[in-house]
Amino acid sequence: MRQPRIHDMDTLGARVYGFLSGLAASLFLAAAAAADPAVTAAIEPAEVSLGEAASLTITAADGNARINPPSVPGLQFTQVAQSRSLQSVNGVTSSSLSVTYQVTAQQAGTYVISSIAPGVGPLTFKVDAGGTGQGAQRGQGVQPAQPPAPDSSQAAPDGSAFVRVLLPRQEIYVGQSVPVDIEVGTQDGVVASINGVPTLDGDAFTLDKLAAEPEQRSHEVVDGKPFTVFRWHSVLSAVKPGRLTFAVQAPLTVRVRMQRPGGVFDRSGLADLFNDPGLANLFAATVNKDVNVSSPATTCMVLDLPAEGRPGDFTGAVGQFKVSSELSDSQVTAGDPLTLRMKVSGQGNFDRVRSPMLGDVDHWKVYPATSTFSPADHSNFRGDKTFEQPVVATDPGRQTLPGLTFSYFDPDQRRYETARTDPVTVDVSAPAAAAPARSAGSAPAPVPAAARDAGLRPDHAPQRSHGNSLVPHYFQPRYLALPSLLLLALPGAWFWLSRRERRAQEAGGAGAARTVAPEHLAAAMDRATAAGNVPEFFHAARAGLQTALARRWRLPPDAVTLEEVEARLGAQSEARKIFVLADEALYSGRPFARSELNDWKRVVLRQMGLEAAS
Amino acid sequence: MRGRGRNRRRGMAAAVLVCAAAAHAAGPPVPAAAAPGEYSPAALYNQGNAYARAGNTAMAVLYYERARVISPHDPDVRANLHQVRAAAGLPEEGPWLESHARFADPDVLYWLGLIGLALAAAGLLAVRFHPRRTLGRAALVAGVSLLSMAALDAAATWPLMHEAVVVHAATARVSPAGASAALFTVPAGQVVEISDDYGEFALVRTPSGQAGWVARSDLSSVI
Repeated sequence: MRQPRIHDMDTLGARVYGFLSGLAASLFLAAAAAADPAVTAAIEPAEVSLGEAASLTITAADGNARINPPSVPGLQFTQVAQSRSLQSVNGVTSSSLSVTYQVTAQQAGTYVISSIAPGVGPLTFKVDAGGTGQGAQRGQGVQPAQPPAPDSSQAAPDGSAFVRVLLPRQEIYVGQSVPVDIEVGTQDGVVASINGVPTLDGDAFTLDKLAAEPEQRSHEVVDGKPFTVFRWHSVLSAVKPGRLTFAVQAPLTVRVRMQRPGGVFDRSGLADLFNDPGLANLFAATVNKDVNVSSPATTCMVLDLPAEGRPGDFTGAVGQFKVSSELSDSQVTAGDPLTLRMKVSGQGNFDRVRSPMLGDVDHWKVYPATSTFSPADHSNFRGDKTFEQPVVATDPGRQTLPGLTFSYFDPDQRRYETARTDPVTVDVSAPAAAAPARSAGSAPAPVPAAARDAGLRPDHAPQRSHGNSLVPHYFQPRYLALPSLLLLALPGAWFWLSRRERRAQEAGGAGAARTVAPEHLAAAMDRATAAGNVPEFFHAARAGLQTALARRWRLPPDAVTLEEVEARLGAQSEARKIFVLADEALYSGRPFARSELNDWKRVVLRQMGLEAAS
Repeated sequence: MRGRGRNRRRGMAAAVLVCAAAAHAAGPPVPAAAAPGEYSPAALYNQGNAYARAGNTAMAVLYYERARVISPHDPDVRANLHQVRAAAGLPEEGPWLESHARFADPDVLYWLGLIGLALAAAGLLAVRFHPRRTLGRAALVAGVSLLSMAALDAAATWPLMHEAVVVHAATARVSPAGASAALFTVPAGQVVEISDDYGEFALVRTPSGQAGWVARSDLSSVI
């Protein structure tokens, strides 16, 4: 809700502030001009709201001077005008150059425009997020808020938001987890939203992942303005020693009131009457701007863990811990599994709390341990880590499991500590199968695990190791080399065999051409038909077919056998029949009519492609 | 000349087979990476039994599942896995392909597939270049059969590479952040499929189709 009195006071303050700023700027510029009249610069207005533009005019007395736009991070300079003027005084002509830039800011803040030209002093340009510039002078905005009280907080340039880092200690050890609270305060009505969780700015530290939503939310009044403060709990760790700094920043969206350079009625005669803040507010537009608000740099002295006195089983745990252990049962039968538990409780970097538990122990079979962490707070800084290790007593009698140890570094005591548990003794009875020999007439052997064992099939005899990885061979890259080699060898073998075959055909083809001249076969078969020499006829027919098929199949003629012909052309093919008839004619003396022979001759010639020629 | 040529072809085909057999006889190459330990189906199964007797259902399921990777049809593993799952009220089987399309130890099938590949290649060459193609056809058929069997097994085993057992009852969340909204609870011993990773969280899918982000520390991969 607006309160007119405060509002008026704000407006008055803004006007006084603007007047004093303008006066100071004028005095400064006058002094600068007096010092070096060659170049002058002025920015108007010196204070704007985010989204508004100001004009920077740089004037050089020498019309041939070269004027370059200044370079200020976060500000954009766009040349909008350039003029050159000539003056003639008492016959002496001089020229001057004036360049005007439009200055816009990407985010709110106070900027210093320096290095405009030699001899030109720096200009201060202030950009407000919530309309403290011209708008403020017209009484629409709020005064810039001072940073909140804690020293480890940082306000946005316009005071509409801040980030605080609450670190309990400034001296920590490498790897040590330190609880840290991060607070982001946003001025109600000015900050539209927080666009993500705060992030750490500093590569020497790690910050545990923050929850998407803050764990706490509270309200504060800072400089009379209501703020909502969002708090995250996390854990900070340093990764290297030294005097290191970090900051935390939060992305926000702020509402910015867009104010046109001139008021609605500035060009009318009603400006004084109607440039009322309320009316101006009515015509002002509000846009959202994304900004990053950062905490001030926090410096920590990070110490390295001492090498002296470091236990051999130290795994990097830093904090304060206690250990305890227990066995799931104190009386068992040999072969029954037990669970040995070690609980590490306290506070510190639990991700580095590790223990292999027991190694090889006589009379016991020991399995790999597993661990479970039960956090006691959101940041996993406090809690219990429980290690569980299945153990099996292999021999009956009174068996003892040795005590367990756990080493850590205590940052408060600044020394390594080793916590120990007591050894555990167990009465192990003989298994049920051996009981009759041992316990005739005595109490039966206890079977504590019988109930749990119900329905389970017995253990298997030990086998040869399968290997040291459960990943099947065909998903391991190194095992893919063999099939790849085979696949590469296949085209190579194919190429080699093809070449070899081609050479054989070339040799075989020439030989066949020498042994059988296809063009003479028809004449040979005609002669055999006329003479009634059936074996001679079929001999010539088979030779002709062999030659023709050998060429077709790229084989030596000798390789064209009855089996080959049958395999390639089938049992009912005419070529196969000729091969069969040739054998019949040779060994059985079967007679053939002349017409039959002529028919077979046509078949042979057709197979040889010589039918037309005949 | 003719006999020598045939002998050469036969020798080449035999050489391919001998190479494959020699590779098998020589055993697998020595793994380069340090291994956590030696595995055998019996050791994994016995460890599962130990956990089952100790009342740790989740770890029992994990080790039975690991035993099933190497020995998919061991009746004892199946029976005890069924037993602990039934006692804990967990769903029974994984996808059908995993349960039914796996024939034997995947490493054995790898070598069979390799021999199948060699046979198929030799058969292909014989069919093309050897005058008696019957032998080549037989080798081709046998090789393709072995190769198909290995490929089917590999396809059925592949999902196991992305499966994990929930070792502690876990809360599945809507996003990979400890403070994000809880969706559902995954019981210890449940086998889930991991479909994505982000920091200390894994996106898991239960057999019933529910999906959510679970802390990595609550999961243990089957393979």
